[in-house]
Amino acid sequence: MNLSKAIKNKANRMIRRAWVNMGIPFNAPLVNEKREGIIDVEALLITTFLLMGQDRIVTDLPAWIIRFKDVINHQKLKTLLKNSPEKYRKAVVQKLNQDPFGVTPGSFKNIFGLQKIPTREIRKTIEIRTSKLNSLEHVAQSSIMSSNRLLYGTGFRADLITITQIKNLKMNGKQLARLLCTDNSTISRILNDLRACQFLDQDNERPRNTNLYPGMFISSHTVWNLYEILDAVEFRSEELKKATYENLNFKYDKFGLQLVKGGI
Amino acid sequence: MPQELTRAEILENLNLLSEWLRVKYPSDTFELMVVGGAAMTLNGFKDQTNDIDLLKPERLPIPLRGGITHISRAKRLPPEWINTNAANILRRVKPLKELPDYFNEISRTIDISENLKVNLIGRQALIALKLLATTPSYTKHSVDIKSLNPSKEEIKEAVQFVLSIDNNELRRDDLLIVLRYIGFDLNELIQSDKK
Repeated sequence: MNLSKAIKNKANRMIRRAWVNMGIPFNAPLVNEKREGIIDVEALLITTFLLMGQDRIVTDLPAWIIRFKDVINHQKLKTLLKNSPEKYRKAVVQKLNQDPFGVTPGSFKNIFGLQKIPTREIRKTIEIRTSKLNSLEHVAQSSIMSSNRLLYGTGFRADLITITQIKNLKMNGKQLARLLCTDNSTISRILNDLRACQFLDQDNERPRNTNLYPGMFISSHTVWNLYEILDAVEFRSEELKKATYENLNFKYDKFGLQLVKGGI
Repeated sequence: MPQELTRAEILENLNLLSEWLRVKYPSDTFELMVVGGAAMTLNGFKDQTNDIDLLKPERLPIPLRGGITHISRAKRLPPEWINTNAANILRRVKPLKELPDYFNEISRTIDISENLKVNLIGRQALIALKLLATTPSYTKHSVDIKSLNPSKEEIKEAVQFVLSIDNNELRRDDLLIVLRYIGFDLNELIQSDKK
C-alpha cells in the first residue's frame, strides 16, 4: 500500500482504538461509539487486514478471531471480500497468508483460502495472546454491534437492529442491504418481521428508541472509501486524485473522514 | 451544446482513462476501435469532435464504464464522452459479423499506454458509416465526408453498404441530395455498378 507513513500511522492509531473496543489491549483510548459512531466488526477486520504491518497485531488478531469467532458474521466478511476489487482481495489474502493466521478456525480460513499449518511455537504464542484479551463482557459493553449479536444471535438481524439505533438513519432497504453487505431480500424479510412486531414503525424507525448513535465509525463504506483513497494515492494526475476525493461519501464512515482530514 | 474535443484533448482524456484503468485494473489491457468524428480528428481530417464513438467493444465492460464515468467527473465532460452509440445503431441494422470485411481494417493504432490501445477504423468503413448517418437536413456528416475527399470507388462502396441496410425510396432520395452535395451522382454510381 502506497499510503504515506504519516497516514498509515494515523489509520493504524484509529484501528487500534477500535480494537480496544473489541477487547485487544492496545495502549489506546476506546472509540466512544455514542459520540464517534458504531464499529462494524467485519469492516474493521478487512480494514485492519489491508493496513496491518508486521507488529503485535499479527498475533493479536488471530487470537481475537479464535476467541470471538462466534460474534463474527462470516457471511458479511465473505461478501466484503468478494465485493472488493481484485487487487485488494489479493492484497488482503497475501497479508493473511502468514503463520499466525494458520491457527484461526477453519470457517475463517475458508473465506480467505488460507492453508498455512501453524507450528507448535506459533500456537503457543497465540495462546499467550489470547489470554491477554479482554472479556466478552467488556466487548458487549463497548461494542453495540457485538452486544446485539450476543442478544439476538450473530447475523444480519442483529446487525440491522444495531443500524436502526443510528439517529436520523433514513435509509431504505436497498441502502441498508448495501451498508450491511447482504441481499435486498434478506433485509426486506427482516424489516417485515421487525415492523410486524412493532419494533420498527412504517418508516423503519424505532418509535421508542432513546439509545441513539450518531452514525458509523467504521462500516462497509469505510472499506470502499479506503480502496478509493489507496487508488487516489497511486494516481499521478492531480485531476484524477481530486475527482476521487470529491466523490467519497463519509456519511457512514467517520474513520475515512478523519483519515483524509488535513489531506492525504 | 456538448463540449467539443480537439485531438490534443482527446489524447489527454484517453491518457487519464488509461491511468485510471492501470490503477484500478492493473492486470488488464483494453483495446478500443474508434469510429466517427473522433477517428477523423485523431487522423487529422477534422479539428474537433463531440465525443468518441466506439465500434468495439460493442458493449462497454465494467472497467471501461467506471473509467469513463470517473474521467467525465474529473474533466467535467458529458457522461457519454466515450460511447458505443455507433455500435448500437449498427447492431440494430446489421450484426457486426455480417459487416463488410473493410470494417475490420485499421487505419492507425495509437498506443495510449501499455494497457490501452486505440485503433482508428479504416477509411472505407469511416466513409460508409458517415454516409449511413448523414441526412440532407443534418449536414455535419456530409461535411465530414467531403473533408475526407473520397474517391468514386470509395463512395460507390459506401452507397452499396447504405443500400444494403436501407434501400427504400426515401433513403435513395436522401442519398441523391447528400451525394450531390459531396460531388457525386447517385444514379451514375448505381448505373456504373450495374454495368
